[in-house]
Amino acid sequence: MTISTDLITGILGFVFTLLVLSYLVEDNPLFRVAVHIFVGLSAGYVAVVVWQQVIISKLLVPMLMGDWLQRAFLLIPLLMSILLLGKMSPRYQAFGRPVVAFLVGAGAAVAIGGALLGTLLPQIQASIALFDFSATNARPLTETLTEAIFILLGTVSTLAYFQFTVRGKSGKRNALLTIVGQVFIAITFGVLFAGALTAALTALIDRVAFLVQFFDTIFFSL
Amino acid sequence: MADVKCSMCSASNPAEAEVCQQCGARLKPLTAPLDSIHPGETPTKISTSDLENTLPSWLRDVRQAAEESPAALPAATPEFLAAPVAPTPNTPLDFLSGLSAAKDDSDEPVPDWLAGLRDSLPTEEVSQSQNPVQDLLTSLTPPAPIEPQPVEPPAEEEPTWDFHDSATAETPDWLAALKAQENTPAAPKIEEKAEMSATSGDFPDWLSQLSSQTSPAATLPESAPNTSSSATGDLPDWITSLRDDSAAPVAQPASAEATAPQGDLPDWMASLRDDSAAPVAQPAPAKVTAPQGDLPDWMASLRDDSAAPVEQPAPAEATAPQGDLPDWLANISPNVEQSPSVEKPAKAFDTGAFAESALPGEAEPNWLSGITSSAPQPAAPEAEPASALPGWLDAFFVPGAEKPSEAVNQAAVEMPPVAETLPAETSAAPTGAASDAIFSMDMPDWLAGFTPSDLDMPAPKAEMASTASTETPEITPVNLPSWVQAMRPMEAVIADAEDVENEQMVEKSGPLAGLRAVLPMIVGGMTMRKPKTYSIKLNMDDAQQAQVALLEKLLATETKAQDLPAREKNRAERPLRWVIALILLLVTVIPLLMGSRWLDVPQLAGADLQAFTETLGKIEPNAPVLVVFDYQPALAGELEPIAASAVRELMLKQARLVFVSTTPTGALMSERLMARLDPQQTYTSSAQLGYLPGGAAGIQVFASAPTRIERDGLNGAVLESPTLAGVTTLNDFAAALILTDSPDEGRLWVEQAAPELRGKPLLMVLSAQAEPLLRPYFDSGQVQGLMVGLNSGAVFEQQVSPDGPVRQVWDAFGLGLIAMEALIFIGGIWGLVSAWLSARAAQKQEEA
Repeated sequence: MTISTDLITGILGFVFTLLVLSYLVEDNPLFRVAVHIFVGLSAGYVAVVVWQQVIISKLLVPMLMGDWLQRAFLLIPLLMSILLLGKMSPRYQAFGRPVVAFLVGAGAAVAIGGALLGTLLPQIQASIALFDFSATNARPLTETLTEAIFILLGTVSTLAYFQFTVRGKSGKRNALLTIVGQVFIAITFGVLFAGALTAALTALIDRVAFLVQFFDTIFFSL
Repeated sequence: MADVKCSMCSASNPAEAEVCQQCGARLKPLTAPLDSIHPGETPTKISTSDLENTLPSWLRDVRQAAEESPAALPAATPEFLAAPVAPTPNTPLDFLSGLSAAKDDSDEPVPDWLAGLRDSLPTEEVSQSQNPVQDLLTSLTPPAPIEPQPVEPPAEEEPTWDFHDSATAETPDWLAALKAQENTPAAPKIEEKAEMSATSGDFPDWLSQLSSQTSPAATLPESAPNTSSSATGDLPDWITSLRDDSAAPVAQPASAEATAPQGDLPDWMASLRDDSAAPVAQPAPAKVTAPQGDLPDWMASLRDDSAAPVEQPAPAEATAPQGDLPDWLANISPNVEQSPSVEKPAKAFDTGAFAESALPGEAEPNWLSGITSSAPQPAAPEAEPASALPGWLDAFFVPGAEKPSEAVNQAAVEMPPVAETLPAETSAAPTGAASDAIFSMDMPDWLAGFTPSDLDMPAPKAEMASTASTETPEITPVNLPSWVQAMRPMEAVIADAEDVENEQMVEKSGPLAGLRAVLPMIVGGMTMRKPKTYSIKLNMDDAQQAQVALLEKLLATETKAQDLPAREKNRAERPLRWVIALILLLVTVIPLLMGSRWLDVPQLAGADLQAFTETLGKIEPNAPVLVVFDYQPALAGELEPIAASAVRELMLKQARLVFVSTTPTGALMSERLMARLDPQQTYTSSAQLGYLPGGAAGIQVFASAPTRIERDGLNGAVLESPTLAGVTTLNDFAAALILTDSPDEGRLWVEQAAPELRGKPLLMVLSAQAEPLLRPYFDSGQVQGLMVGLNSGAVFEQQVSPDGPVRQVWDAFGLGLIAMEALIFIGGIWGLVSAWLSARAAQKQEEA
């Protein structure tokens, strides 16, 4: 009988699934071993992927096989990568600061531009559009209006809650608004919790289904 | 301003001088109370009425007698008491000046010993009993000899002070018979008694009364100063120190206290009498012969104490008529006979006071002479005591002993009263102001230096050494009353302190280095300055102090570790967790094992799923579709079934699938999905672009030029595959399908890639946990369709391919959701009930 890869991966998956589920009893070494193994595997896998798909594929090979212009452009990221290695040593970490500054600056610029143009303005426009009754909308007006009022109330009350609660300037006039904001925030958290719980339940079902399938394969299909 | 005379050398010094220019002695006392009175100044009138109670009764009697009969005051009061009423520099003994103002204070409480003294000896009795005693004593008192200085013969000027004569006239017969025996051994060195009598301050008032009644107006001879000065040398040191240093009155009533009536004596004075037994007992044969019945008890005790020294053979006494003699004389005789070995009486007591108090012409009683004569006297001419000494007293003397000469009697006649001698003594004695200063210390002078040790007469030390050591016991410490201790002279204390201080000085430099107390320290020579005090308090205003306090508070809070509240362990936590886990496992395992289809899959799709289905359906066959795998392997169980349905639908359309991922595990997830959908790997219209690094920037670059990165990389050959044919920008894709479980990843794709799609649909397959944050993008129209979780996946799968992978786990998923909702509901109810019970219990406790 030849041992197939699926059998090995199935056994490993079965074992590691039990190790993780052992956390139901309490925090135990088996669970820790499984967690450590998963973290190690993930880090190793990420390192291999980055090395293979980023450093070699997008830096070294073009540097060796590319033309002079391509190589010249690749010198900049290469130099910055070397300088960034200086962050590992306290003595030479100053060399990596410009690189980090460049990365943070570029990332912030991209993120802010994307948030402004891709999230803030479109969301404001969408919230305002809910009150555009002249616009052709397949949904009933009452439904749209109700949704618009809820969105508006939720947005204003949530902002009011953070504005007047954090700074401690909440007065009697803003008390009701902040309470409404708290309700909306609580509903939001409840939704997020329900989504996370549903996702976890789905993952549990996937693992249980794997175990059932594994047992079915091992004991009933042989 | 009057000059100040030095108390040590009598040299005149300026009034402002503090140290004698001649001898260097300090003129002004250092003590604070004495600084307020300077020599020569008129003393401040001080009401000493409070001291009235502290005075012995004999002084009170003097006061009363003076008040009742002012005319008789000179007779009832010694001159040293009567004269210095007006405080003048030359009139000492002003210490009684305040008594006149205190006559009304006689009712105030007095010490017990004074009260007893007054009770035991009423004034009337004393005055009445003194007359016969006086008669007796005057007849017995031998004339006190005076120093050999030339003495003016003032006998004629003293008409009534011929004590000897008057006494002789009143002498009873038995005494007269005793006088006939003048040839018998008399008291030795009576002249010494006469010299000692100059200190009439020692004379008690009752004796003064006796003498003054006989001669109220005494005129003192000018030779008194010399006599007084000679007697001063016989005074004890403490008396001398009082007179020299601190204006103590010259009149030292030491002998007076010593001869005070027994009943009036306090204990300490009685002890003094005991201590001075030896000096008292040495001479005084006349005292021994005092009538027993007339003498007070204390005199009797003195007689008893002096029995040993008086052990003079007294043949005359033996021959004295027994019937005339008092009993005490009869008792003395055997004592005298028992100790005939003593050849001569010792000079044990200073009798000068008595002799001097005796008026001229009056003979001092021998018994008083015996009491007071002990001080070493300068060589005086031998007196002839035969005429003054009663004959019966001569019987007490040893035949071979020295008899008092006649000169003694003569000197006694010429002896000036004490009061007259006092002004002359001012050169060596303190002035009236000085005495007032002493009095201002609330201390009677006669009590000032009154200590048992002081009463130990120092004059005849050489002679007393043998007898005192053998006959008298050790001087027992006397417990003085506190008020007497408080009235001790300050000089004694200060002197001791200075002595100790001088003894502690050790020379540290020079040739005297290492020697102790070589050079006396000049007291007051160094200016004692109080060291300057420096304040350690910082000068800060309130604002600065508040800032400092705030800073200290911050530092304290930074270093102080906050105690985390201990997590209260619930015993039911672990079993409850097991129960929940067991329930969830059961509700998920049982449907999977059984392969049940108990729960129907929902048929009605939501708007998001409906839009997703429509959009996906609009993708043309063989169109390039960008599929982004941005979910973690942990949530592959959720996303993979629903993503599989959508990818399978694309595969059915032969869409060219380009896989890309912004997570390192994305490529793995794509291969896993493709392996699940196409185990045989027959689908060739797919391209794996792999991992897209750089986050938002990478997405933005990829969105702007999807193939540029791949062209520069190792996978540049992929661009030549038919899957990416015609794809240069992101808009070249027919649609972009985002498979993600992270709202952030989905948001980045929406923000960075949606604008680059330029109208091409952006579809998302989301995990249930990412839906709340990414749904607004669908509502805003930035995302054209959503498929969220197993619910939407089951609906979509039901539409495209029934009994797919989602349907296989749908019962487990449905039952699991029901179980979780039930647990949440039960837990919520349990929490509410628990809170209500806790509140009720708390309320009951508050009510109780």
